Formats: sequence, structure tokens, C-alpha cells
Amino acid sequence: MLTNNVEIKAEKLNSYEWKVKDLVIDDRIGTFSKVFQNHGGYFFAVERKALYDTMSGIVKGRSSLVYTNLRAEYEETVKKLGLDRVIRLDKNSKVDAKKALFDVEVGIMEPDALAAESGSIILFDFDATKSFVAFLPEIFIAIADESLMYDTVPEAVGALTKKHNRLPATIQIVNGPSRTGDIENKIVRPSHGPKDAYLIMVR
Amino acid sequence: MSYKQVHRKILRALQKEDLRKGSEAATKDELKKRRYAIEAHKYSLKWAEDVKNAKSSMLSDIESSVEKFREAFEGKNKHFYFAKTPENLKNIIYSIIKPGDVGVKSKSMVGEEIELRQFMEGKGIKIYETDLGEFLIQLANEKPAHMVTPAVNMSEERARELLEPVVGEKLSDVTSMVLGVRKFMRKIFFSADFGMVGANALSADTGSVIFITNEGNGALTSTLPDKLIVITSVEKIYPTLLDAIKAVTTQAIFSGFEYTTYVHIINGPYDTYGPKEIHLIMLDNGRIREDDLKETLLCIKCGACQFACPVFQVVDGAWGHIYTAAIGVPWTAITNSKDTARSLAAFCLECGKCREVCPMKIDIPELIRKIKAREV
Repeated sequence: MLTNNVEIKAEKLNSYEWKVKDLVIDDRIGTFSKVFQNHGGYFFAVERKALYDTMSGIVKGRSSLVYTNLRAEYEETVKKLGLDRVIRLDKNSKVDAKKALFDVEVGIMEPDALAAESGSIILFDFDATKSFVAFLPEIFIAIADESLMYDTVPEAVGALTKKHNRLPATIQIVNGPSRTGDIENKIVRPSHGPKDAYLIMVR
Repeated sequence: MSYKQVHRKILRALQKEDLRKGSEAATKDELKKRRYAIEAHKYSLKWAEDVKNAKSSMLSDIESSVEKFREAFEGKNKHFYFAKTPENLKNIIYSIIKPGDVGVKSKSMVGEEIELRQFMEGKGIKIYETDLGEFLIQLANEKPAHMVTPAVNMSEERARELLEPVVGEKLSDVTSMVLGVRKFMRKIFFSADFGMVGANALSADTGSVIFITNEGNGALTSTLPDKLIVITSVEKIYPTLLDAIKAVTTQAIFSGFEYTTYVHIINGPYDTYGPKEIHLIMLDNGRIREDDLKETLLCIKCGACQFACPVFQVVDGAWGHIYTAAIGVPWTAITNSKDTARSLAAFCLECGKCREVCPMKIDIPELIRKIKAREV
């Protein structure tokens, strides 16, 4: 529920200097691609007509997926992938999330913003659906277009706060697939979150 | 702990070959990683200054900072509690959860500081540490060796001995250990009665709780159970959300991470799915009244000073009580025991390497000299 209190908090934030001084990123998409892949993520830049083929390749051999926050045309593409179990998750979907998502294999969504400098996918999550889709499945796929790209995380957070004029329940920042280096510094993916994280940039 | 007890603890640690091996493997490249991380994010040096200034402004009047945060945080199904002592905090916890409850917990130094897990287990509350390093520490019934990487001194062999009986299968290498724990923990995440997280930073303007993880355990801990408990302490408050984002980023970079996989900024319960109520307990435990060692509270717990310390490099967590290495000495004096801090202080070489790497430029050797100079 939107409350005045939350709106007031968001209002305060509009005056902050969110832009990072002395940081110039000439090629945001190139930078994002490089950094996100350094983090172990996968990056594809595709034409709209190639989206189905790209996603089909990623989900090959998988039988279940959950999606949220997708425009109608992407939703159609997801359904065409033909997986046995396809769950649409939103605040009205009345899905028993804990039962339905325990072993779901793929999560797909459109994020709210991207940050080039840190290779970040940023989610403004009001009802936990984006968090579930980003964290629970083994494969996380974010589909985005160039308009979502900012230089840095603070810049993206500032812009999203201004756009929504309220703070969500959580802001989630995802920089790659889940990992741990807790035993002798040996990096293993995944730990508790997704094994693979994909960003598909649709041109 | 007396001087003799600290001395014995260090000698015992020196004799354990597996500890030496694990520590050497994990610590040898840490400072190099830190240099690379700062190089990759050059703005972090300026951000470290901003964070220090923001933190100093809040520490100048801690009680007022706590009040500002409380006002911003409280709301529908969001409950704020102030705990002056560890006992206060434990009593508050016990009023929120009950014997028989099962919880999942992500890493919290405040939790370690007051031995919260041990308290809850004693009350019949089952709690699972979900950070792999912290889970290993829980199984070994030990204390964390480092603030960021708690099981830094644990060898692969020792980890296998601890995990195989719990996971119930043969674990041939580190990958199989991690995947075994993932499988074991998944059911617990989905059925837990409560989730418990610490905070890396808090913002006084929005009442937000910010914490970072690499494993995704914090993500599941803070979104799956219906009840979320945040345990934190008074020095984590920053004036603004922007300052708090800078603080967690600076902490990660100076810890030696070019990036952390997840940053979570929690503002309130969700509309539909996710936790229905949030309880935040803010601990003082000697911080507010501290004067002589107040500079310690600037610490953002990145752990860089621990890796830079020549004593830590050899004996790691054995030099310390709960907070280890040089910065652990004043932290022990503030939050635990001045006598123990004095005993620990005697092992400082005063080389100053901790001060060189500290992003907050805390004069740790000077803090330790003050502790050494105190009357017994």
C-alpha cells in the first residue's frame, strides 16, 4: 500500500547528488557487458526478432519457469518456449509461491534499471515477486533495453526513486550469479542463488 | 582472558598444521585483491572520505542519530527496539520468537559479539547460519577468525569433516561441499519461521537497512520467512541512503571484492509475498558511552587491517576474542572486556600496517597504545 510516509521519504531523495563526480563512461553497454561477464554473468545483445532463439537456447532441457514484470510481447515469447510448467507471478496471481517456486528452474523478468560501471541489474521490488524470480531459480534471465542503462548504481537508484516517487519494499542489486569463496578462497558457483545470470539487451 | 590465556591460545594455533595451511591459502592474495578492487573503482578513495565524514557526523551525537533512524524506520508492521545491553537484546529476541521456532540467519558480527546463536540454541530455538563460512564456524563450535571471511583459517579437509555428517553424502571437493550445503539448506529456507540478518549500513533519512552478500543466502533469508529480524548496532547509521550505499560499496571494495554479488536495501514489508513483519533491534553494548576509544566506531568492518596485520597472517583468529587482530583490540575493550583487551594489546607489534590500509584512516596503533597504558 502506498502511504504518505513512504512518499515523503522518496521526496527527500530528489535533492541528493546521485551522479558520481569525475566518472565518465563513454560506452555504457560495452562497459556493462565487460563488467557483468567478469562477474560470471552472460550478456547478449540481440535484435527483437532474435529474442526467442536466444532464450530458447538458454532454457534448452529445462521444464519449468517463473516470470514477472514482462511486457505482453515478451510474455508471449516466454510462453512460446513451450516449457511444461510456466508460472506468472504478480501480486494478483494468487500463486502459493513457496510451493510453486521450490524447484522452479528458470526466472525471467524485465529489471528496473542497469548500472554500467558495476555491471548491476537493479530491481525496485514492491511485492517480493522480483526478488523471488531473481533469487530462487537456478537460471536468472533479465531482458532489458538500452533506456534502462545508467552510469552507476546511485544514479539509477536516484532516477528510479524520482520516477516512482516512493520507495519499494526492497531495492535489490544483482551483480552476477551467486558464488562463495569461503573455503580456502576457492570460488564456486552457485551458492544459494542462481548458478547462471543472463542479461539480454534487446535492441 | 588473561595474558597467559591469550598466549596459550596463540601457541595452540601455531601448532595446528591444518589451520596454518588454510590460513595461508586464504590470506596470501587478499591485499593484492584489495589493490585491484580499488584500482577498478577509483572513486572509492573519495567515497571512503565521504563515508568517514558522514559517519563522523552521526557519531558526534549517537543518541540523536538513533532517534532519527527510529523515526524514519518505524511504520506499519515495522518494529524498532533499542537494546542497551546484550541481555536486553536477547530478551527482545525471546519476545519475538518462541521455543521450537526454526530460523535462518545470515552473517552478523553483532550476533557473534553477544553470542546470540548460542543463546537461541539454549532456549530451544533452532537457528541455521546460512553463510557457508559462518555455517562451518557453527558446526565447529568456534568463533569467526575474520569479520568478512569467518572461516578463513579452515582447510578443505577440515570443512569436509564438518560437512559430510550434516549433508549426508561424500563430498569429494569444494564444489561438492558448496552444492551439498545448497541442497541441505534449501528446504530449511522454505520452511523457516523467521529470518535474521545483520546490517552493513542504515540510513537515517529513509529508515533503510542495507546489507551485502555474495552467496544469495541473505536474499533468501530476507524474503522467504514471514518474519524478518534485523540485528544491528548504533554506529551503522548514516545520514542518507546515498551515504549508506557509498558505505557498503566502500566496505566491499576495501575488503578486496571488485564487486559483491548482491546488495539488498530493505525499506519495509512487502505488499503481498515476503516477510509480513520486520523487527529491528539496535544494540548499544558500550558504544554510546565510549569516549577514549570512540574512533573505533568509524570502523566499517571491511577486515583489510586484519589481512595486513603480520600477527594475523601467522595466527589469524587466535589473536582476538570475537573481533580479531589489531582493530579487534579496541572493539573488545568497547563491547566485551577491558581486561581481555589489555591482554590482547600486548601482542600488537605496533608496525602500523593496519592504519595504512584502513579506509577510515583509524589510528589503530594509537588506540591499542591507549589500552596498553590503562591501569590494570
